Amino acid sequence: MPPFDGAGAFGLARYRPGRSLLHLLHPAAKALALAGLLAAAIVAPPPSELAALFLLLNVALLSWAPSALPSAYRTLLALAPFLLLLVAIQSVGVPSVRWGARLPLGPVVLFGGELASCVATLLRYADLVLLLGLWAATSRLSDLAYATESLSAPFARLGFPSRAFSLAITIALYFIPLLGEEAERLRKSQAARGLDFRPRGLGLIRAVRAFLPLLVPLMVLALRHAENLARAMEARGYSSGGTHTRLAVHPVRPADVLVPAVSLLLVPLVLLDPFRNVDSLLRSLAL
Amino acid sequence: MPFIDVVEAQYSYPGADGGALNGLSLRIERGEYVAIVGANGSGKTTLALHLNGLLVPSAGRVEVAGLDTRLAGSLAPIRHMVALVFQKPEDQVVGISVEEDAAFGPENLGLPRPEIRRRVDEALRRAGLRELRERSPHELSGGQKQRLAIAGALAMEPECLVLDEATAMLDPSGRSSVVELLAELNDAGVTLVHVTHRMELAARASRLVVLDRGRVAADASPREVFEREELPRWGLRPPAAFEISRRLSARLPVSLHLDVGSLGRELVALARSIPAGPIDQASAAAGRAARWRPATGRPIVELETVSHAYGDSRGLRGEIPSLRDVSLAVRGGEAIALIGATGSGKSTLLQHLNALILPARGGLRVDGVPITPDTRDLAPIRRRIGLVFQSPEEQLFEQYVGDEIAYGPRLQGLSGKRLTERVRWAMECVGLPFEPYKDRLTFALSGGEQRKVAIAGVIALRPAVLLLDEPTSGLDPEGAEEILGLLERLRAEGTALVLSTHEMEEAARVADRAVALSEGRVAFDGAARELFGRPEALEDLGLEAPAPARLLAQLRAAGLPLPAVALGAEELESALMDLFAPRAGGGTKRGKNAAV
Repeated sequence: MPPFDGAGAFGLARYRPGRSLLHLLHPAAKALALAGLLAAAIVAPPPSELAALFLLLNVALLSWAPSALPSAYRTLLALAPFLLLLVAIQSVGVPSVRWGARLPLGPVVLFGGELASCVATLLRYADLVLLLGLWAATSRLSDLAYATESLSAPFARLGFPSRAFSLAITIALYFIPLLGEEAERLRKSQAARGLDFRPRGLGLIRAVRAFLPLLVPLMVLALRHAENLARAMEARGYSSGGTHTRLAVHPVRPADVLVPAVSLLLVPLVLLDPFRNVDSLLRSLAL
Repeated sequence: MPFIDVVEAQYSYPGADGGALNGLSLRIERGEYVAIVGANGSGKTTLALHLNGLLVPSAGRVEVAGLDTRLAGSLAPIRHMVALVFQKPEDQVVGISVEEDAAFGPENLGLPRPEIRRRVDEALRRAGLRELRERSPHELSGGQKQRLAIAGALAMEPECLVLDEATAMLDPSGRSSVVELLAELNDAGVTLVHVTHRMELAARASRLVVLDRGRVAADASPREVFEREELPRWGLRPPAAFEISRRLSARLPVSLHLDVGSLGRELVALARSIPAGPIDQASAAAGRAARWRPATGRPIVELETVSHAYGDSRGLRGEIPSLRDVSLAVRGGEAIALIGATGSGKSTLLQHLNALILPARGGLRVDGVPITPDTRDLAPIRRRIGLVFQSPEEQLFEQYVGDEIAYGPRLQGLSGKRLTERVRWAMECVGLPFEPYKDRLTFALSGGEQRKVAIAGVIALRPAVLLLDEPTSGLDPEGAEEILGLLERLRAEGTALVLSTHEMEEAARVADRAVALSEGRVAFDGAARELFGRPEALEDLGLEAPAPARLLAQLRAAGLPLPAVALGAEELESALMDLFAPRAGGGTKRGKNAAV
């Protein structure tokens, strides 16, 4: 691995062009639906609702963004060690789940309840990853800015700068990778002058001092970029709080109300635990 | 009433000594094409920012179509009329897609949606970006990004477009695509104000304004300005075609030309008008200059069939700076010009040469020793093969010049008197006297001086090979000249040089060996004069041959018996004299000149 070639592939976050129901959904509606489903996945009691959601997400991905499915699973696989550790911390040895059949695994004894809890936690994380993958695959970055602006528009009356806010998000999305590239260039250029960034048991002050060659120029560049950008925006007639129109307009259609409504309703629904009979059946099997 | 009227404008930046504009007056009429030139710090950018009210004069006034820029109420209509395009495309992008970025201006004007759509479509069509409308600006090349910035300005449908060094960061093909667009716009009636360091671009304008210390020093046609003898004092040089025709006009009946094409046509006509005499084709074809011989001796650094590819997420951006099977050896005392279009892999190659990137495939050897990921300490290698990045002044971080230059040698373990001596030597190498400069504040220096400090910081490591990425980009002609002089001195002292550049004149001047990259492969490796003698091959690489080489190719294409290789203006001149003198039987001005 070359020492300065840190760019990885973020296939999960890539937009896949298409004209499916999800692609054409109003960005704000999609953001609301995402919020509803995320909340449902977080609060759902284990594990049958989570499994149902998992199934649902796979079907959705398969039908609306099939090319995103492999990268979603690759991401899950890449996260696997981390997820398993999290799952183990959250589920193994927790008194409330030490019930059911005893499964001896070498020196360790696992309970059926612990295993069920592991599966549920794993499903929960898988749901979250797939959800974000589904959203990213069917949404452009501009949708994010548009959704932010539309959703915060009602607050504009209270003086909230909704356009400036969405513009800030857009610019940050462009600026972060730019700054990352700059930092890499600086690292390289200081390494070319003999600087070694590998930690070698330096004291705090010396460690901070070692990063000055990066921090000072990076700050200067960031400030200069901000100043130039502000100037360029002003030159193009931008003024904060000024009136403006938009090129991209998404008319609101019935689906744009229906989809977020359904997904937001899911939250109280999963809290009611409609599949509890399935869960108790599983539980009795485990016992 | 003039369209833009600048009257006795004064402006100083807070904290700066001396004004940036010192009573500057300038009138621009509708439909004009005005180029503004001048040394760094002469007030060009400050003037550009005054033209649409981004800055307002502290004394005097600026009026656009009769509206005073100092009145808040007139700013919106003024910005509607006068659009500005800046140097760095990255600093101008606000949209997430090409189309949305172009729409930003019209959206701010509060135009109805169908009108925005019409303007965006029209602006993208003119800028040649219609096909890329859905792309993210990240995925565009440098030239495309700058055309997007222009499209964003055009979508405002301005009456006047002001470009501040808008082609400085582009390679020759990117630059010519922008220049063609400008000519089209001016033909369509758009007033153009082009601030530039490049005299060939300035020569395209109908009017040339020279700024010197915040005032207008000259305001005339480009030809008249280039004939002025104060030109060097203003930090300027005429375009190459003008210089060549001036030299020739001393000995041949040719007039002064601003571009190579028209000079070539006149020379061909001249050759045909003179009755053909006995032409010594053999002597002409033999060429005059000594042949280049490859350097011999042990290579200091060698790359062997190196391939490199960046990760997927980078590849998305459209420029894939990767290398494919590149082999290259640099020997002591050599000077190599590394040329190629943007994205051809030049920077990646330079970073391989000093082990900042270790080859993923293929081998790197320094002084015969293979360098691998297991090599413990790469710092000595990076000191032996120094690398100066593009715009290295952006990487300065120490408060004082002396500390900045001492940084590398200190890490190397030098201290006390030896350190001082090393810093003194490096500073004097780049032409910054030690005593007056060592305690100056780094960030208060001019751009050209900062670049010298950054180069000194690398030279202070006493590298055997010095790698430079675009060492003169963004500098004015005088600043560029100083850096080139420095490189020539270093070379004379025995430092091997590898410089990547878009400027073929520079490459021709400093280097005798040229390595051309195309999409990561070595497309040419040999005598620089041979490559520059083939303008069509350079064009295929997205580059432009130096002016004398282009002229020569044009004359040879017209059937004049001239040698196939020539580099500098002097060599071309003597080859032309060889051609014309026997033809005219001494009837040209040569007789006069020979007596001189």
